[in-house]
Amino acid sequence: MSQADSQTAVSSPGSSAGALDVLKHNFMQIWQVLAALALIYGFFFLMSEPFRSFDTLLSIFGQASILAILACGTTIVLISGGLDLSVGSIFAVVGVTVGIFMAEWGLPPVLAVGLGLGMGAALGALNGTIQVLTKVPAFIVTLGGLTAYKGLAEILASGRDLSRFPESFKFLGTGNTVPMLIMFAVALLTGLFLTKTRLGSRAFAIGGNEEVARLSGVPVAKSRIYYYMLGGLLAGLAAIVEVAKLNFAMPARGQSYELYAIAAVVIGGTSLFGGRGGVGKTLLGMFIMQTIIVGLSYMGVGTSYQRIAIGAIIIVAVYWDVWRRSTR
Amino acid sequence: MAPLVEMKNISIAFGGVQAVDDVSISLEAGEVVGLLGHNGAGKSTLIKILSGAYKMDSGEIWIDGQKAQITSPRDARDYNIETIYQTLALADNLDAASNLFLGRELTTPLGFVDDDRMEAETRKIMARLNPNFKKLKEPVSALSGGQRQSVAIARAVYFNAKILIMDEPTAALGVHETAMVADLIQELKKQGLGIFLISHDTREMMELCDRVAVMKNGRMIGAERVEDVTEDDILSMIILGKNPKVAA
Ligand SMILES: Nc1ncnc2c1ncn2[C@@H]1O[C@H](COP(=O)(O)OP(=O)(O)OP(=O)(O)O)[C@@H](O)[C@H]1O
Ligand SMILES: [Mg+2]
Repeated sequence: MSQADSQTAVSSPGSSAGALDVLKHNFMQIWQVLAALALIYGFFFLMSEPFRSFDTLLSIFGQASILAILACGTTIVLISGGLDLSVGSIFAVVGVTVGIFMAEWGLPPVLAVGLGLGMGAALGALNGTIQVLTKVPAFIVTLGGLTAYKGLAEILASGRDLSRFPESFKFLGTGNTVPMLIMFAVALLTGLFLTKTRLGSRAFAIGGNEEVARLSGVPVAKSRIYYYMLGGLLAGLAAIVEVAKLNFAMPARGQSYELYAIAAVVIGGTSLFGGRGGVGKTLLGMFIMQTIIVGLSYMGVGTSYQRIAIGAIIIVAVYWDVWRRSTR
Repeated sequence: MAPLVEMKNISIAFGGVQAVDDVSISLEAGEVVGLLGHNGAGKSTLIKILSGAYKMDSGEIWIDGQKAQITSPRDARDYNIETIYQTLALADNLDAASNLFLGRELTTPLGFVDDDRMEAETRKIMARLNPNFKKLKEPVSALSGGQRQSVAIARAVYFNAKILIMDEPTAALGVHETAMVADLIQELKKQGLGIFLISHDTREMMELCDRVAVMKNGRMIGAERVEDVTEDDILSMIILGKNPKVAA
């Protein structure tokens, strides 16, 4: 204690300014994204009467939450300079498996959820391991995972009616509130992981410069496998919450989720090229995307046009990322 | 007593290029050994084998009279070998403290990364190495060449190295900072470290080193005590690839 005291005493003039600096620094990093969110929200607020209700705001959060849970994993993987296109399919496999565990095997929900999360983690770790061992680029390995895991989910689900789950399980998907709380808890833990643990903080170094990380004694390959594992685990958790919410599981769920997650992460300001970003940004990015989707549908714009809008925004966000990199 | 480091008959090739060809060199505790030679002579490659960055094709490394297995930077670290790479090997997107402690992050008793303590330690060592260094919170990409250099030096000095490798540590430095590095080398030498120093400045090397070794085209031309040779002898070794001491 006395040591801590003396340290703060020594650096106290610097450190109070330091804390302010950190706040200011963090704000400078996200203010553009916050401003974009405010602008977009304001736009729809003006354009659409029903959009103005508090319920709409809640439903934006609620609908964002499942994708946001998955996107927390995507954030970790992208910061480390990796890419996982298969998380949407991992989502499908875990959803179907958890459904089978409960609807067919009659496993208690706690066990089904635990096994489901383990399944997600294992599939993610498999992606990472294949990359590390074969040196095949992440894009290719996880593109393979995208179709292979999707096939696996279809095989597992074929001819099965996976619905009507126990009440205690359905609790996980109650209204907008429970998924939202899970989302915030996951985001908080992911943030802690990225900033306060050795493994997590090294993701920034690995994503920034893998060779430097290696020369500094960071076990790069092993760390990467863990990042993909966490990505898979969180895809699994997102699937579990969705299955609980819908009260059924089917292999078509999760389609394109990996792309929406990457979009949200990049819109929030995490670099697609690794080394920079954070989970708070991902939540902001997810809210921006969801606000646009909800806002456009309130204005009567169809899903196909919404997709076009999201696609355009992704390109703008990545362009911005590229531009920022080139100017420093 | 066995030397601190003995590299015996080290060879490594990249594709068709024999970058290091049957090179042997030793280093004592408290000794500074300089490596000289033209661009592409194989100096960096040789020391990267000792630092675990490259795996040699053949040869042996002995440390304190024991045969050492160095196949990764982590192995080298376990032998208390610290390296300042020619390229500095810093992660541009991280600040000075994160670079200093990368791979060896300080943690709280609960195992969480202790940013405050790492920053305080960084402040302390930077105050000693480069009192003008103020930009602790910025990514090192925002630093000048000299400031980056001092982060890299701090990184090697902080962890109580026994064997220190410095690959052109003063290349990006001004006169004043170069003198500071020279002082630091003397101080570390007094503490009993063995230091491999690479530089192109022959005069500087004659002043700082106990012995100088000259490489050319991947081969070791010779290693001589500085009091036994003149600057001209060294230059002719570098240029002609012959050791006048042996020829005479
Ligand atoms: N990773 C690598 N892949 C291929 N060739 C390499 C590699 N590293 C070094 N070489 C080659 O090995 C030879 C020795 O290079 P090295 O960097 O060791 O020279 P050096 O003596 O440090 O030169 P300088 O004074 O310019 O730093 C060169 O021909 C170089 O091109
Ligand atoms: Mg070199």
